[in-house]
Amino acid sequence: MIDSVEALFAPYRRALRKEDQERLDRLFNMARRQTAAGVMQSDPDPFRTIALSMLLELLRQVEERDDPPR
Amino acid sequence: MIRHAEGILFDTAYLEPEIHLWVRCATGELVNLQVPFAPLFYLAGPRASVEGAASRLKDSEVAQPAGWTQRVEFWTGEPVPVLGVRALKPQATVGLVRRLLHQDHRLRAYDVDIDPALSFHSRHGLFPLARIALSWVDSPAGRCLRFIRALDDPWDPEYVAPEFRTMRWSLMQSERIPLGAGNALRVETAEGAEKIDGRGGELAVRRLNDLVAETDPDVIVSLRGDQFIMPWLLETAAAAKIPLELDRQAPPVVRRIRHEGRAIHVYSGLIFKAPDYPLFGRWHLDVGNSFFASKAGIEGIVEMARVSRLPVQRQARTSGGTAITAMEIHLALQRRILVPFVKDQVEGFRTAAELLAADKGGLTFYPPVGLWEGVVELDYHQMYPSIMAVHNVSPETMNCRCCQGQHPVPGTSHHSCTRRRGLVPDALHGLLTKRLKYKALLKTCSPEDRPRYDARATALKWTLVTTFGYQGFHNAKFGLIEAHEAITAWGRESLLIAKEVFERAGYQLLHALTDSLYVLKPGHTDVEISALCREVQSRTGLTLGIEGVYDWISFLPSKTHSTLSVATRYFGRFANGDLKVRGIKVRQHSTPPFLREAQEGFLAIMQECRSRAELEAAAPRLRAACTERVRLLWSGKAAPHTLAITAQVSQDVRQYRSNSPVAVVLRILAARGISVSAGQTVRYVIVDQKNVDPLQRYLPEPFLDQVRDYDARAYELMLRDAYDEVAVHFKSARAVMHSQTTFDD
Repeated sequence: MIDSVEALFAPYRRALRKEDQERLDRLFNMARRQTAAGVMQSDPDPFRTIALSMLLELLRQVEERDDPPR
Repeated sequence: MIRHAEGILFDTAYLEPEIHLWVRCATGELVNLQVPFAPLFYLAGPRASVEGAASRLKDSEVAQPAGWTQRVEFWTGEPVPVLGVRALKPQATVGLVRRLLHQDHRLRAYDVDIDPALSFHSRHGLFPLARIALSWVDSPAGRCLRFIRALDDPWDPEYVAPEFRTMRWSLMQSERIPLGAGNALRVETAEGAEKIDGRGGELAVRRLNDLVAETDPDVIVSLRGDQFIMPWLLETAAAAKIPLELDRQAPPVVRRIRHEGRAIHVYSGLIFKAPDYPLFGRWHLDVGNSFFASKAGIEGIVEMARVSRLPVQRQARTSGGTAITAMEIHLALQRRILVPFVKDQVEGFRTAAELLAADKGGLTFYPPVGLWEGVVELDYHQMYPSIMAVHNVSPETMNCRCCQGQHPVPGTSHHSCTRRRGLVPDALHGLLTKRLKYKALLKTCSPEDRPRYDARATALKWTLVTTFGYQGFHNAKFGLIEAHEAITAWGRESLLIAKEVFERAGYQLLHALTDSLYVLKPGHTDVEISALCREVQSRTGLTLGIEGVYDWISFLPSKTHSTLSVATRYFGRFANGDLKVRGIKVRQHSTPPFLREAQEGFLAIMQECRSRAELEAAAPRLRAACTERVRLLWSGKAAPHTLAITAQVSQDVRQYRSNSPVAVVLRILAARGISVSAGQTVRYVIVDQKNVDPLQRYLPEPFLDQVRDYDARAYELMLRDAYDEVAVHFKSARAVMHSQTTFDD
């Protein structure tokens, strides 16, 4: 599912600077961490779930940077 | 005169127009008995259609109408009037029924393509290796069966299979070398082993006939018998105009000689299926052509034949799905339920959104990459089969009209019937219960009984594992996509319930995959976990058990996205010292023995370590083990056969366009007159990977003894990959490895 959305944004990715392309790839990988939640939601427009998963993962990373575990 | 006896039902076969039974009497004598058998099938539909078909059958030699009766319709559970038809030539009835259905689309047919032996077993309560009481009459035409009854139960776990006299066949050299061109047959019996050179032709066949006559084996266990040995024997015997005498107390049987096998998909991937060569009055079991033999040996085949009621030689050559279908057919025949001929149920109409919501398989929570200590693994026991049994998931119980909304499947628009038990849940219930009985027996039995019960439990386990895939399979007689979706939906629901129960108790969910969870909580106790598992069980109806507690577990990164983990690549050490390894090189069929042994060596060092600290301390030993292997490679002393890479062929040699290793290897073999079919495997050594001529890069089996030199550099790279795979989480181990100078030539 995420692969097909990622493929949809190929023209967008193409016009990004290389370092931004890598950021975009990392964003999609963040969404991959929440596959189970995406499956349960099964939104007919998967991008909404993917975007939410990206935000969630970003928040996790911000929180872990401010307050590292252990 | 009527004779009475007790004995063991050794084998059953249908040889038109009779069922033949081979019985090992209590006296030790083997008797062949016949009984005329014409199985019934049924026609239904508008009365005019059925009567039209009946009149067309009036002069048929294949099938004869046998009168109207009542049977239970599979999908609705309602009684319907049907016309019984006696199949005089069961092998020709399928074609006949197809023509009838083609002539009148309102006509429906049932019980058409049921294996006659299964149908006979089912009608008389028989099964392979049943203890039986029987009587027969001797006549000039043979022994005619008068009465037969089973004295034991296929669901009894404690039966003892009789001792079989066994003969073993194997090829002395690679199967790529034909028997007529230098290969030989190794024939082994209790008296000893003998080599029969294929170049003897007629003499070889005569010698084999003599050996079989002298030793009178009950079972011939072969390796490559179906694919190579039997076709060669039949051809050689036919050319010399002499009989091949392998059947026992059977009428002459005509066999077609077939070489080509076919590739089929089973649970564990694409496999090559050779043609079948069963014998009559004697078993031929090709252990290379049997899913169950590879998983659970002959004991496992016998176990599955008993519960499926399929003849042993047929059970040996089929998958778990066929066994379950046979059990469902037996239940249907007992309950007078009609077995649909062609899968005539189409998926109910649903919107795209519903499809999306329902068809999504199991859940995956990706584990955090790295090394973790104190992780607890929890597994649902036989999740999917248990769901079918607990929630009554069966094609005919899905979305019934009688129970609208009473037992809804979570997250879908489906429900299952609360009034009628399905055939699938009942068949599975038997298997699940019997497997539990074996597990209990294994805890209490004597050591000499252990291997037997273990093999039987393993056979049942693999049958249960393959069931689920069968639900949606297009050929499955009792398959239905809605049932498939209900099962996965219940599976997701059950996994989430377990997650919630453990998270509420303070556990962190690290990883979960379909039916297993990996959770972490400092200071957890076994008592607490057991209590939580019971809570999950009371809420889901399924059994959740502790697979183990890991001293440490390493979740490996994806090969393509290094920051992301993969759900199926990890290894760890349980508190009892066992190692669990998934998805790395030691587990892959393609890995050459040299690399597998190397990685096993690395893992053995890690297995001794109980903690992260001990692992870090062992890093120098790990590095030394790797260096030693690298040295062995460059010394040129690695044995060629240990370097052979195994690869599966996915298409014909002409269809390969690239210069991939498999394509090149197939071309090398083709040039030497050896052809390999899709689904079969090839093995090859890399001799010079960078050679401009692709044909000089590899050397395949059966020419491995011609390997003079191998490509040490290519193998060193593979070795370092195998090392990195297990050492990835030790910076100390990795850094040194990469800064080390390589052994340049």
